[in-house]
Amino acid sequence: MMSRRPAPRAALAVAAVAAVAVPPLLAPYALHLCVMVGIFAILALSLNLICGWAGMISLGHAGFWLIGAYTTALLTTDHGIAFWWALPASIGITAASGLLLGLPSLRWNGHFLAVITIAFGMIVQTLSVNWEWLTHGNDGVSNIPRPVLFGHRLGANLAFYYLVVVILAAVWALMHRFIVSGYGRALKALRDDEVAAACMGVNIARFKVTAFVLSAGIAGMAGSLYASYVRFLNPDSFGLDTSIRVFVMVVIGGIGSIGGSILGSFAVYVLPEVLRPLQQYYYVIWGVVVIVVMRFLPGGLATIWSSAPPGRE
Amino acid sequence: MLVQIVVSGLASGATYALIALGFVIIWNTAAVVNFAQGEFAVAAMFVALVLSRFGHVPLFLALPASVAASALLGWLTERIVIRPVIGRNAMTVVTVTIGLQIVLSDGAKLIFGGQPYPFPAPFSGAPLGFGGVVLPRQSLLVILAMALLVAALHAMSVLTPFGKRLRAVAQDREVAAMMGIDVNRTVAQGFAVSAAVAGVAGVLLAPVIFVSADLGLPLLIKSFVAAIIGGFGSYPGALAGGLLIGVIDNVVSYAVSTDYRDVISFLVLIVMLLLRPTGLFPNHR
Repeated sequence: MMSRRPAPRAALAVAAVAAVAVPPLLAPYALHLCVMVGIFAILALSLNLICGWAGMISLGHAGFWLIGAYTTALLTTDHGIAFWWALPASIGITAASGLLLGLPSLRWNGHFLAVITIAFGMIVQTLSVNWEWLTHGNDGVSNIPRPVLFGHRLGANLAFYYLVVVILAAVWALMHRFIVSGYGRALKALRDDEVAAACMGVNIARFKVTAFVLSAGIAGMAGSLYASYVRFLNPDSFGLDTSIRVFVMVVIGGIGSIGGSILGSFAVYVLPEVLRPLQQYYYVIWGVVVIVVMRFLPGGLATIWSSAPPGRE
Repeated sequence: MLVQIVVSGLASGATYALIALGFVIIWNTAAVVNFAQGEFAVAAMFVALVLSRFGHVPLFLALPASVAASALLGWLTERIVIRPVIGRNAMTVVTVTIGLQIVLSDGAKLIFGGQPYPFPAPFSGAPLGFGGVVLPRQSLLVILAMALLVAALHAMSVLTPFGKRLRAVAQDREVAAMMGIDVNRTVAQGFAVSAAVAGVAGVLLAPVIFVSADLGLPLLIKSFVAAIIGGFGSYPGALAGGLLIGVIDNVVSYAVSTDYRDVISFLVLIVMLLLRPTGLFPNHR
């Protein structure tokens, strides 16, 4: 990629302090947006692992998100299991479903993989509509309980916000460790040149499948948080448009940039809200914004600070 | 009964095939996966709808006009949206076409609202019977129109200088440029042809389904799958893939259930890719 100067440490520190200090001052609706941005940031980070570092395309991440969300929702409502057991169960089941896409990724890449991931997402959504015995179909799952931490139910959105921030920070730290590790470097080598990476002794099959499993697990975690936050699930929220939205978050924010994914989910989630006074025009304007950002900042919002001229031709 | 189901499957498959054909034309000439391809078809539907229903223009004038409008939209797409980002990272270009898809489908929703509109059939009348098999006129018209259009496109590709330029650019941009071909102009014209083909598919499909603003993405997915089954980049493959998907969809809806139609179609896709990873026509362009 291009030579990218990291965001100034001061800016990062200000962002971190703001993430902790500002939300108590916000109006309820703005706070709600902050929670959603946090959840989507985790989801975008999980996709970035596949798109940004492993160089594979996935347009089915809403499927993983759905599996994670429904696992938590059904375990905590129908089976009365506590959130803190449902969360690892969500991560585990979703990670296992990551194998379903990890194995095809060994054989196909590029457009073929894109279509297979679209197929995966649509199949999962269709099943969640039709398997009424399991998912309650279009009625959805309601009255999902909020997590209880040290005897306190995280009923207030502010408390839940801090839970999301802590988990997001943990995912950030994990991804950072991961990327600078030999494993992350192997993934990047694989993205840049699969054959050369294989010649250097990178076990391509293992790395690709692990990337999918890990990414699915993190997406499942985001789903689990989403279920217990909104407290009502319905298959409609997990369609292809959601997968595309998450993909746009990753690309707009900056492919292969951790901060970029967070910035991207902020932009994708908050910008339409800022544009809301424009009423029905806002989605159209949002589409124009996507085109314009890609035109002038092809490396995504994360490269706003970069001194290098954008784009690699 | 089976024949009827297959024929009506072929009819909807023919429209997927045409959209897939346009999709592949853009892939071959510009190396762009165009997520807005379905919107070209929808644009033609709405232009035809406005002209015939609200402008009272007769259909035989409204249909060509709407195809021309969609060709113009394709040409503008290349000039305004695609050309500035061409040659960049594949994910950047895909995201730009996704942005365009959002603009076009939500633009249509803005103008026409979310509700479906009925569209008049060009040939009304009782279905035709052939020895016990009853076939709706529109299905036959769609299949016939697709065959004619494909023949015309093939003739254009082989016989005209424009077709030669298009094929040269598809084969190798740089060499084509060195041979004195104006690559940018050719690619823009390729977009126009591709959108026109999608527009024909749109107006053929319009009388069968209700016209609405959110049709573009499902149509794109069908045609994307068709292109993959056929062998990405292959014209005969896109056509065969589209027809196959139409038939599979229809047979599954009839024999199994409409609930699981998409699931089974996608499973067929995955099984086909397992058995024949390069598609039906891997090396045909």
